[in-house]
Amino acid sequence: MTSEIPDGGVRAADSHAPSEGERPRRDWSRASRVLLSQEAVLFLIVLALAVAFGLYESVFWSGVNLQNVSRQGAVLTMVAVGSIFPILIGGIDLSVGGQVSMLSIFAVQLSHNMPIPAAFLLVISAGICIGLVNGLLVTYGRISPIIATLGTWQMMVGFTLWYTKGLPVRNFSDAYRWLGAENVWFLPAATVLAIGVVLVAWILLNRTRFGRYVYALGGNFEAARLSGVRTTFVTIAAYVTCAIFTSIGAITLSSRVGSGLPGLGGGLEIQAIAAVFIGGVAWGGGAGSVIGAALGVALVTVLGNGLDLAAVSSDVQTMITGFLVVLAVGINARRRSASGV
Amino acid sequence: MSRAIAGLVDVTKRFGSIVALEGVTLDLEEGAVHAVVGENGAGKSTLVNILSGVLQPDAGAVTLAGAEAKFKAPADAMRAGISTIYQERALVSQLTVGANILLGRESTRLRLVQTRKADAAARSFLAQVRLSIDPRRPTANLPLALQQLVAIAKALSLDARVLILDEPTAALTGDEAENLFALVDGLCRKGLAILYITHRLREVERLADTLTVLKDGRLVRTMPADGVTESVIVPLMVGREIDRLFPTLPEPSQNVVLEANDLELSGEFRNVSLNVRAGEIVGIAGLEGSGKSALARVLAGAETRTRGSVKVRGKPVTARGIDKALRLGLGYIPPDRRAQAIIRTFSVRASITLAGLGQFSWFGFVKLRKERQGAQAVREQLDIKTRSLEAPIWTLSGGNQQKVVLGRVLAAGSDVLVCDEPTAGVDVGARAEIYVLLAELAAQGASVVLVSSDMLELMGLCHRILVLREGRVVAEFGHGSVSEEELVRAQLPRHEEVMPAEEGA
Repeated sequence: MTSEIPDGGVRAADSHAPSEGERPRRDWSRASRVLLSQEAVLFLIVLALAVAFGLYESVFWSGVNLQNVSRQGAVLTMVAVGSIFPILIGGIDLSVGGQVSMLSIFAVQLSHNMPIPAAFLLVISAGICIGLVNGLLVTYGRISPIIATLGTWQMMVGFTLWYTKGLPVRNFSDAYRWLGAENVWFLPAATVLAIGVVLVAWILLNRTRFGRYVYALGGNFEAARLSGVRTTFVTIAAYVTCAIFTSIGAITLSSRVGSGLPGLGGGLEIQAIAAVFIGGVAWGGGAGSVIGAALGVALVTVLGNGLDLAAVSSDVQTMITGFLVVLAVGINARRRSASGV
Repeated sequence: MSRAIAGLVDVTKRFGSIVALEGVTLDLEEGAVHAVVGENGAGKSTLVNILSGVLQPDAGAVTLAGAEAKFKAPADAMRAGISTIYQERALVSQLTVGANILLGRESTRLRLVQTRKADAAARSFLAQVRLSIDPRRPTANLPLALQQLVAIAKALSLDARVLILDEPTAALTGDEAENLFALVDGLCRKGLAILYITHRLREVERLADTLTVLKDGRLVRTMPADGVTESVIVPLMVGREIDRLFPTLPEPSQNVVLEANDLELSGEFRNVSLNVRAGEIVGIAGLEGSGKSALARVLAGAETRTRGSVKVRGKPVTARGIDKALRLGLGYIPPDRRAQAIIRTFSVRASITLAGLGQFSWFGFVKLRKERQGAQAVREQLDIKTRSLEAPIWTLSGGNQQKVVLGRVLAAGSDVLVCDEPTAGVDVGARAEIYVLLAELAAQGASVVLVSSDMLELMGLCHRILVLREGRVVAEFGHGSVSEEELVRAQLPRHEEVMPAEEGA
C-alpha cells in the first residue's frame, strides 16, 4: 500500500497506524530489525569468522594471537573512529595517513627532549592544528573535502620525507614503548586505549550537542543551518576531532614500533575508510555509528590475521578488503532505500 | 447528451483521519467544459490528482469510456489521453519550447532532436493553441501565460482527449485569460473534454457547460452551468469552510517587536520597511519572483541583506548568521520542507529539539530525559500525530512534519516567526490546525510574518497584508478590507503583457 502513493499520502496513512494495542509491538519489531541489520549482523560475522579461523588454525584462539590481533586493530580503530566524524558530516579526511607519518616523527623527536607525557600532549596539539587547517580549508576556503585533505596529505608526506630525508627516527626506550608493547593485566595497553577512544567517540556522538549537530549536518546541511546550527563551527570541529583521534593513533603506532617513519601511515587512510564503510557508515554522511566503525575494524583485522595464519598473501587480503567495501556499501544503499532514508 | 469520455465513480480519498474526497462521482463529456468550484481545501486538488494518476483512490474508481481504469502513475493517465496543465510546473525550463513539446518522444517518431522536422511538428502543435513563437526559443524566460499555452500544445501532441486545467488563470492578466478562454472554446469544438478547476465564478459563467460544487471533500451539486449566477453558487460553496479553517484573530498589542528598516537584497527587493507588533500576523503577498521569499530569508537572517536593519525588541539583528537571529527569538519556517527543514535520518524527537538543543543540555551534554520531556510537550501542544517520539520523521504526514518544523522553532523559544508558505503540501486538516496554532501563538504575544501565495490564507489569517511586486511594497491591506481579486490584481505586473499572437516570428 505504501509504495504506491507518492509524497504526503503515505505518511498520513502511516502515522495513523492501525490500533493502539499494536503500536508498541511494531516499535519493538522495528527496533529489533534495525539492530539485527546493523551492528549485530556485523558482530555475528566477526564472531563466525573468528570461530572458523579457530577451527582451521587453533593458534588463532591462543592468548598471544588474540593480543596481537587486538594490538593490530587498536591503531586502526583510533584512526577509523576519528575518520567517521568528517564522513558523518558529509565530508571526508584523506589526510589521516599523512598525519600518522608526520606525527609519529614529531612524537619521537619530542620524546628525546622532554618527558614523554608532555611530548605526547604536544603531538596531540599538533594534531589539533592539522585538523584546524583541514577544517578551515573546507569551510572558509570552500575547497571540497576530498581535494583539501588530499592536498594536506601530500604536504605532510612531502614535508616528512624532506625533513627526515626518508630515514626513520627511533626511541627504543621502555618508557616510550610502554603504550605499544605492554599489557594492562591481560589486555594490551593499546587495546585499552582504543576501547577508551571508542567510548569517548560514542559519548561525543550520542550524548552531546556536537554529536547531534554532526548527524544533522550530514543528514541535511541546509536544514541544520536554518535551524540555527553553527555549521562552520561544527564542520571544523569534526575535522579537529578526527585529527585528535588520529594523533592518538599515531602515538600508539609510533610507540609500538619505537620509531617515527615517513611511511608509517601509508595506506592507513584507505584501511580506515574501508573499515568505516564496512561498518555501515553512509557515504555522504548522516548515518552510521562508532560501534559499527569499530566492528568494521574488527572484521578487517580478524580477517587479516586469520588469512595471515592461513598463509594467504597480503595482496589477496587487499583484494578481499576492497570487495568487502563494495559489498557493504552496496548492501547499505539497498537497505537505506528500502527503509526510505 | 454527449458521451462521457472519462470520470470518477464514487471516489473516496483519505489522508489519515482527514477525508479529502468522499463519494464523488463526476463525468467528463466529449466537447464540454466541466467546471469544478470550491473553496481552498474543498478537495479540488485531490480530485485532479486522482484523475491524473498522481494519487490512487481509497474507494471508487476512475473510469475511461465507461470502463474502470487503474492509474498507477501520472504517465498512465497521460497515455490514456488525460493531460493536466498545472499553474507553474509544466515545463522543463532548461529546454527549448519545441523540445518541451516533444519531450520523451524524440527518439521514436522523430528521430533527430532539433531537426527541421521536429521544429515543424512543434510548430503545428503550437499553431493549434494559436501560438506562433519559435520552437527553438528557450522556455525559461517565457511569460507564464505562454508557458501554459506551450503546456497545452504539449498535451495536444500527446493526443489528449481529456484536458485538466487546474486554476489556469491564477496568474494571468485579463487579456491573457481571455485568450485562454477562446482557446478552451476551440478545443471543446474539437471534441476534447475539459475539466476546469477554478475558484472564480466569472470564469464558470464564461466557459462551463456543467458545474460541480465541492465542499469539504463532498460533492454538493452538479448542474448545467447555463444561467448559473454567483448568487446560486456562492451559498453552495461557502458555509462553514472559512470559519472552520480560520480562527478569529486576537487583538495585537501596541508594542512593536520586529522592526525592519529599508531592507534591501540586491536583485530581489529594496526599500522594504515593516513593523510587526506583539500578537500581530502580517502577511506578505506577491507572485513568484516578487522577492517575497527572499524577504522572509533576510528577515530571518538566513540570507545576508545588502542594506537596511532588522531589530527584535529594539535589539539589532546582525546581518550574518541565522543562529544569532534565532537567539534573539526569530524563528524561520522555510518554504521547502523536504529540502530545507526535514532531516530524514532524524527521529521526531531529535527533529523537534534541533534548534533549541541548548536548553536541553548541560555543558554540551544532551540531557536525554529533559529533551524527551521537551519534545513531548511540543508534541502535545501542537497535537503532532506520530506513533512515537522515536519514529523517523519521514513516517509522518506532510502536515505533521510541518508541525514538527514549527515546534522546532517554538522549542527554541522563538516568538517572532517568519513563515514562508507554512501550509504548502499540507492536507486540509493539518492546515486548519496550523492556522489555529498561529492564531493562538499570536494571542500569546508572538509576532508572525506570513509569506504565502494562498490568498485565502493571507485574507483569513493576517491583520495586515503587504503586497510585494517586483521587489517593492506596493500596497497594504487591513484584515477584511480586501477581496481576493483585488489582492491578486495588486500583485500582477503593471506593464502590459505582449499578446501571445504577436509574439515571435
